[in-house]
Amino acid sequence: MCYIIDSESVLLNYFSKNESSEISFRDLRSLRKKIEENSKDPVYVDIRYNSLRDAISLHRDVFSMELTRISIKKTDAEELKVDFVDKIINSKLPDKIKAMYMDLISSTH
Amino acid sequence: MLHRKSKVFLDTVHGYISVPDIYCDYFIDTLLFQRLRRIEQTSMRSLYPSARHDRFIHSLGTFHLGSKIFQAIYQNSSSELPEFSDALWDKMQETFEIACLLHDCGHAPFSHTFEKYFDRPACLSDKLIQASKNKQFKYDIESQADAAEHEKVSAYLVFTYFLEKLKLLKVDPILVVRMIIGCLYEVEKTPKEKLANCFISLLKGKIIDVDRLDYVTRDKWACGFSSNNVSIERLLSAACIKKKDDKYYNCFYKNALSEIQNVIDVINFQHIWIFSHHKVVYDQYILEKAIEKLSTQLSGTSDKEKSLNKLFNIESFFGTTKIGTHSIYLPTDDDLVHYQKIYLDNNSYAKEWLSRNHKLKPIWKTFAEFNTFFSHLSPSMLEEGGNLEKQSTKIIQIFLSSHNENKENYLRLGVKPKFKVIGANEVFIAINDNIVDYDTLKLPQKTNNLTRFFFYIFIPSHLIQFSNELIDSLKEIK
Repeated sequence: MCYIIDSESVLLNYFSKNESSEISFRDLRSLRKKIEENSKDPVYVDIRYNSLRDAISLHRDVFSMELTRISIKKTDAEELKVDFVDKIINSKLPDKIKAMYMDLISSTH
Repeated sequence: MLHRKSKVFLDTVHGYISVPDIYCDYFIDTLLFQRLRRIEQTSMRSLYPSARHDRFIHSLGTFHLGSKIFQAIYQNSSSELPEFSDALWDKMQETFEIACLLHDCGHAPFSHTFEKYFDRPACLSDKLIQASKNKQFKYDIESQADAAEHEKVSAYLVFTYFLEKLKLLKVDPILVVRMIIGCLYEVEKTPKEKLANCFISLLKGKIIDVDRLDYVTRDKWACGFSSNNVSIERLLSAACIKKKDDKYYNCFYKNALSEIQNVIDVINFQHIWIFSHHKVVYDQYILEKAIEKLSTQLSGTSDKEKSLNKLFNIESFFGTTKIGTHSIYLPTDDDLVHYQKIYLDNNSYAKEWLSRNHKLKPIWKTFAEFNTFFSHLSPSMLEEGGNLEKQSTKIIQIFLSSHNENKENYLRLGVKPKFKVIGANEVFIAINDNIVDYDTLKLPQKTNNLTRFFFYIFIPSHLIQFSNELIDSLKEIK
């Protein structure tokens, strides 16, 4: 099965590595496309509505979801620190995917 | 309200379900819809042998609840909303009922497990946009959150397979599709769009929708597990639409408050105690591996991705597709079970899945045990990919070697239990003339301080008597 990058990883990486306080679903879709197209190994970026909702539910003090975008409510949250994300969220990323994913998600905004 | 000649289905969960004759002729009595009889509803059967319910009866149940909630809303709200004509209510009822009926018709075999392959590379949204030929739909679908793959396939089938029938009924296919994938009108200009947005959220909503209400009650009935009972009658009869500052809200009267909490409790029960159960987690893993292997056996190549893409391909809804020398048409669980049996000799995962003779057993069975054993570790060590998980590899291998077992003969499967809490702007309650956000009611909700991640370790069953030895070694990790 292909490697799955889950919604929590996408949101925490995006907001910890960009200065933006929101991301539109339009941008999330193009980010998904870029990551999946650029990966040499099969990868699936899970940005489905229900998965995003579950991720936001897990970090409800940090994120809020509107009709067309996801915003951050608390910019100084521990979960949005690069160290936290790299140590906790990215530690399981396969090396073959990691560099490409980090590169694309950091340069989205 | 519409008066139509109907057929009656007897359902063990909801009782008699009355379906207009025309829906039977146009939608239900078709190869595509009947296929759903052979798509299992959940992965719960690995734990509950009686859970044999399928997407067919769930679709009828969702239709039934959709019909009931529509009638309740019409009775509770139509007189307060004169801007919506009776003709609009009638057409909305037909549209909503058809969307409820067809919402799952695009499910893949084994439901959610493999559906991602329908949209790899991502193309389904583009297909829907092309089929709709509608600029507003294009704008809305591109700017809102992505639907699940099976929802997009169902929507595509509405635009193709069922299009002519919808035209005969003068039902707007784009609105049916919007309801299935949860695509709201961002700008509500007409009364139709305003009323439609309410019903889009009642099929694919944030917390309470008729799809969820059916599977919550049906899963509970089919499995037989003990959890809260949801009084569907009480909940649906309390549904209404309220208007405030030119905005429309789906609300429930205050007498349904306890039922709303019951729904959440059952959903959370399922996630914590069933979908996170070691048997379900293991069985799901074995099934994925068995089908992955099967796909390469059928295609005759070793490229798993390409093989899975061929096996789970939306073209198979429209005609026979080829995978290797084999043919697939309207694939169901049964087809894949049949092929697994044909190739059983060279597929150990399929053997294990079909016989349910699990070769490996878990050394702990709940996250409660996991938390107890490792309560001394910091949260970061317990995370996915944290030190506990990393260091456990070597310890497991030493344990296996010391018992003369292949050091790779184990499995470590991670679980992220889900837990739903009703947040702001998700559910609204009508209290007298006020529309109140459920979140502001300060009702007691269960803790959100739930385990984020834990893992099971499965070892050969003959070594399970020594599992304490392994657990003690793992507890030494710092």
